[in-house]
Order: sequence, then structure tokens, then C-alpha cells
Amino acid sequence: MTKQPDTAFDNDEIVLVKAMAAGDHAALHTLYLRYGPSLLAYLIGQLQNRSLAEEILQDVMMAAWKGAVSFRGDSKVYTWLLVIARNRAITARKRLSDYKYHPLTLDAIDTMQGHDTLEAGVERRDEQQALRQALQKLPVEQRETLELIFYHDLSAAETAAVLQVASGTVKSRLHRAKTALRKLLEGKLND
Amino acid sequence: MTKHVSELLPFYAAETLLGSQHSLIEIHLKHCSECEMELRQWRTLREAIRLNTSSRVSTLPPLATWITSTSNDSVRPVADQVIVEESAQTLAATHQKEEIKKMSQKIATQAAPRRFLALAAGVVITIIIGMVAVLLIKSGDNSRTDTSAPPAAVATAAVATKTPIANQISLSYPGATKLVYDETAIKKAVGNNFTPEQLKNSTLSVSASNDDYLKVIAYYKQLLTSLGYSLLGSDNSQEGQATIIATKGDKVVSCGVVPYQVLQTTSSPAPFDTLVKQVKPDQTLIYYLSYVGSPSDLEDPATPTPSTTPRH
Repeated sequence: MTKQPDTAFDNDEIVLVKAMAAGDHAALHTLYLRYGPSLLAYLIGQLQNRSLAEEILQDVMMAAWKGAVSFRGDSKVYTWLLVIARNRAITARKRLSDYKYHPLTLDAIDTMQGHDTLEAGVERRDEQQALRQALQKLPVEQRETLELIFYHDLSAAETAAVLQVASGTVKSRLHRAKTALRKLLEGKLND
Repeated sequence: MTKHVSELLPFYAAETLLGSQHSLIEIHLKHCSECEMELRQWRTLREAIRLNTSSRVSTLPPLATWITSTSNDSVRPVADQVIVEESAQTLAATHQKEEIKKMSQKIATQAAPRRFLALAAGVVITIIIGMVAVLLIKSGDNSRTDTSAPPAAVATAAVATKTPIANQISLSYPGATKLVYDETAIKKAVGNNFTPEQLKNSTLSVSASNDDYLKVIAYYKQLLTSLGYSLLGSDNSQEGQATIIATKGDKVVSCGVVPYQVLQTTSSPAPFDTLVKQVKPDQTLIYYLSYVGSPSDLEDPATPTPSTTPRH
């Protein structure tokens, strides 16, 4: 869906947050349209529950609305929103005492019409499918790191800021994730 | 392969490396097949993750109304205005919406191709068609109001008491520059029969943006959907330009995005030429037209239906 913000929006998005701080509802709405889909994708990945993720997304936007006054522009607006989303997701997961990892439910996966046609052939599609299944078996923190870098297009420093770890941890986690995926694909791990 | 290069490779694959780090990898890759293979793996992984993550979301729920209601601001959220206003009329409008939906589908398969054939000729023609469509709607609605009361007449009756959508929500594209033009002159050029009220209740806006036209049209699809609008099956993204028509009850928004190159392929009669001249190379012209009526009223302006004849 919506791609990560590009640099052309940098100034514009700070203007948006300032407008929000001044009480401009339309600015909040614009921000929601721009980043809502990506944030929702992140939250679904973290919570494995679409309806809960949609609920948390609203919480994130409310936090952004209220916190716009204190946003100082030290980071990208999107990174700021991701930090809020992550904190909300952690809190929500703690609330779910029976939370444990399980694959995405069918209702969380929308149809992917069109994607197959982008792929070169059946073999390639099978490979992609295997890789995507392996991704679901990764530890949450490894999959989260991969998604922040490859879907949300965060730099190492930004990823570290969102995850609240050192940059080195991000890099080592990345490589651990890749090694784990390779083993999963080679069938060396049963689960 | 050095550890440093190895650590940077995933970010190179993610296309988030900048400056010297990016250059370092570029140069290194030219003579290191091991890293080249490593990069291919990261790219495959990136593709899988993007597919996997993006597949989770195809729609965005509307922004909750309570988010901004907790503030001290006395101004109601713009999106909420439309929603609240609409909810008061939901029951009465349900039947009418179904009617409009059916008619829209018909239009999408019949009248729309003709309309979009005209659109391909350029934005000037598009605006003319749009404005003539409004003219047809207005004149058609007036005639219906005078007749016994078909379902569409309910919508028409609401026109006098309801502010059109464009006066309530901001449809401006972020970062777009509003073009300077004489709206009255343009409206008069294409709608000689507009009454003062009709002129007032239809809204035309034209701006220019540096963004790609597909990005712009995607933004409007998302915006209108989130505001409760239904996108008709008339989405048209061909000939290097894009248009959409969206409805919500009796409100209709027609939006089009035309790149500079397409604008250059047609001659623009006054007063449109001044408008088109303001679009710079690499820019796209964005227009939207909002009005109250039914998209099924949009017909080929070359063969307007007599206003005294019910069209449906």
C-alpha cells in the first residue's frame, strides 16, 4: 500500500504537525491518510490481530494529535509515529495475557491480486511463498527489524531509535534474521 | 568482504544509504562477487518483506471522530462534519444510494468510456465536460423538482439547505500550488445557463503538483474513501492521466490529474490557456469538481438529454 514517506515531504510534514499543534483537524487527517496504511501494516504485524491493530492505530493518531505540540522535529514525523505505534503495541500485547505468537489469521491477509503477475513464474512464486512463510516463523523482534528496514525504509539509526536499542544491535539482529531464514528455508528447523 | 561492508549491504538493498556509504558499496560491488551475491539475497528478502507487509492492508478505516473531540478546539473536525451531516440523512438516503450505485455501474460500462474518450483529449476538454455535466445535472434536477417526486428529487430538494461538500472539506493536495484563474470566467465559458445559485454550489479547483499523477490520484482515492465516498467503477488511469468519480449520497466529486506532457498535446482556448501555462514541466495539473447530483447524470455533452425527460 502506501509507501514510506519520501524526502519531498519532509518540510511539508513538519508543517502538518505544526498545524496539528495549532488545532488544525485537516492536518491530522492528511497525516493519517499519508502514514495510516503503513502504520496499520506495522501494527498488524506486531499484534497479529487486525481489529486490535485498527483500534491501536486510532490511539496512535490521538497520541500524535495531543503530542503535536511537543514534537520538536528531531526526527522524521514518520519515525515519531512509529515510536508511538510501537509503544502502544507493546502495551497492548502485555494486556493480552494469553498473547503468544501465531500465524496471521486469514482475515488479516487481504487479497493480493496483481502481485502474482509481477513475478516471473510459478517457481519464483513458490520461492516467494516459502520465504514469506519462513518470515512468519521468525522471532517477533527479528521480523520487526526486517520490516522497519525493508518496508518502512528506516536507516540503521532510525531503526535503532524506534526499537530503542543500539545501532549495532540492529545490524546483528538483521544478520541473525537472515541466518535463521536460511535455515528455515533449508528445512533445518522444524518450527 | 569486510564487516563494515557486510553491515551496510542490507541498507544498500533497502536504498536508504546516503552519501559516502552509498558510494563505498557501489565501488566495492564492482569487484566483489561475494558481496554481489549477498546483495541479491538481501534484495530478495526485501521484496518478500514488502509483499508480506503490504498485503496486510488494503483499506484504511476512517479516522475516529473522538480523537479530536477531546481537544479544546471549538471547530469540529472537517471529516466529522461530513459524517455527522450524512448520518442524519442515512435512512432517507439509503434507497437513493442504492439507486445511484446501480446507475453508476451502468454509467461505468456505458457512458464512462465515451466520457473518458473525451478526457483523453486533455484537461481543458475534461473541465468543459465536467462543467457541462454540472449544467446537465442542475437543469435536470430543476426539472425533477418540478415534477411529482422520483427518488432523485429527494436529493435535489436537499440542495437548497445543504452546503456542498467542497465548502466543508479540504480537497487540496499536499504541497500543490493553487493556480491563478478566473473561476467565474471559466464557469461562464462552459456553463452559460448556470443560475447564480448553481454557480455558487458547484466548486472547481485547479492546482499543480510536482508529484507523479498516479501518486496524486492514489491520494485522492484514499482521501475520498476515508471520507465515506464510494469510488465508481469509472477509475481511468490511461493515456498518461487519471480521473476518478466518487459519490457519497447525492454529493459527487470528479477529480482528474493530467501531467504537463499531456497538456502540451492539445491547444487551450481562453480562458483555459492562462491556466495551462502555469503548469511547469515535470508538474501535473490537478483539478476537482464537486457538486450535488448524481454521477448517472453525466452524459456525453454532445447529446444532452432534454431536461424535461426523466433520464432513469
